[in-house]
Amino acid sequence: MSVMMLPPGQLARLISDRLRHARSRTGGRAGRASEIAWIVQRSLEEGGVHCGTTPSMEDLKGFLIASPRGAEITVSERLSDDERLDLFANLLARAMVENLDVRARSVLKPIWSAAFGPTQTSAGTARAFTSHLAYVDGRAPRDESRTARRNAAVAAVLTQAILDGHLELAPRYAFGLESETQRRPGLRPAFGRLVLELCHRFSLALFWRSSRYQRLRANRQVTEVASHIEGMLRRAYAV
Amino acid sequence: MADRDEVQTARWQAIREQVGMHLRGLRLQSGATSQARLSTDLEALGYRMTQSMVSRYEQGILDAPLSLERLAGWALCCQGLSAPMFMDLMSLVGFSLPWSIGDLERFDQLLVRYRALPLPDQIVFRRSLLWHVLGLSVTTKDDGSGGEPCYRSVNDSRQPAGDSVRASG
Repeated sequence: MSVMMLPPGQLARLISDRLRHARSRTGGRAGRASEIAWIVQRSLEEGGVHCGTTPSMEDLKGFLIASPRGAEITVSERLSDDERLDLFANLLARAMVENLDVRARSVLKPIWSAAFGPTQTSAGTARAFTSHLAYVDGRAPRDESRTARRNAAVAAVLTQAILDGHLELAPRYAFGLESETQRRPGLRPAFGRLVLELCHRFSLALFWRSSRYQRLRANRQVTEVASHIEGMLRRAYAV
Repeated sequence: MADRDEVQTARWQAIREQVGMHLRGLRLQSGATSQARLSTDLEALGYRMTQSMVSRYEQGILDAPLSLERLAGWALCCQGLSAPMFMDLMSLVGFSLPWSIGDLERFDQLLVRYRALPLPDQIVFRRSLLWHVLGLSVTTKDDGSGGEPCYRSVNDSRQPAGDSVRASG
């Protein structure tokens, strides 16, 4: 059976939901790492990511290769359950970051689509091929570029949000939650969608560029305020 | 040679010297990989390619035509997937890969980075990457054998997956 990978953001939402559900069954306690790693691996496989292990790698903990031909994650057999869990979540976050790069730069372009539907320009931004090498601690090359360091920082925040089961601790557009499920007709809701789209896009662009904003956005109180404001806007504009 | 058509044989004889020149150019273009190193890399990928065969392909004196898989493997080991010489070579032999030039450049950038890894890591990674370059999707066997990955041409869903693979082109 040939399987195509779900969009990384959608897969992250699925995994996050399952982890939250697993924790709620155990009264908020984190389950055994092996169980949680198993849940994550099964979810990845269901989402079309082939997960394999190998005893052969020395400097790499694992790697991700994703293309229209399929996606695969290979991890070293030497990893503990905790390390494997972190790596799965981190590689998934890396796949998200690859496309965030493009989307966070284009803050204004797709705003039109919020009110009047997706345009060709906003639809065709995803990259055909993504990959990431995860190094064993201390073995990563030191000449990493600024972009690589920024990608790592954003991926770390997203990884934590996935593992905590609280995706609201990062901008919703980072997880591909971009389209409104129901589009009410009329000028007022359309304007409301435009305002919301602007807010979310600026949030994503700030999240992409500023480590301070990443910390701020991961604060639960800030998250609650942000969601409160969004609720108010939705009601005001009847979105 | 017995199982090859006369036309195929004649065509290969007509182009093999040009193919050889391109192969040599690919090997020498970035970092000048030695024939021995290239042969080792190709063998690690799963090809049966001795140093002598590398040399004879480059001289254009081998009778067996090069397959798409071998050409892609050669370019992969030379980090030359996006090189104009590889494009010329592909059009010369009449093959194509299902990738844009941007994607092929991304493959090459990745290959340059991964060269810093220890050999075992390189082998594991390169083996996985090769199938993506060839345009074969990762699938899981449904025979209860434990989810061993196998690869299948995306364009041909009827063909059973297995050791023998077919790529577009």
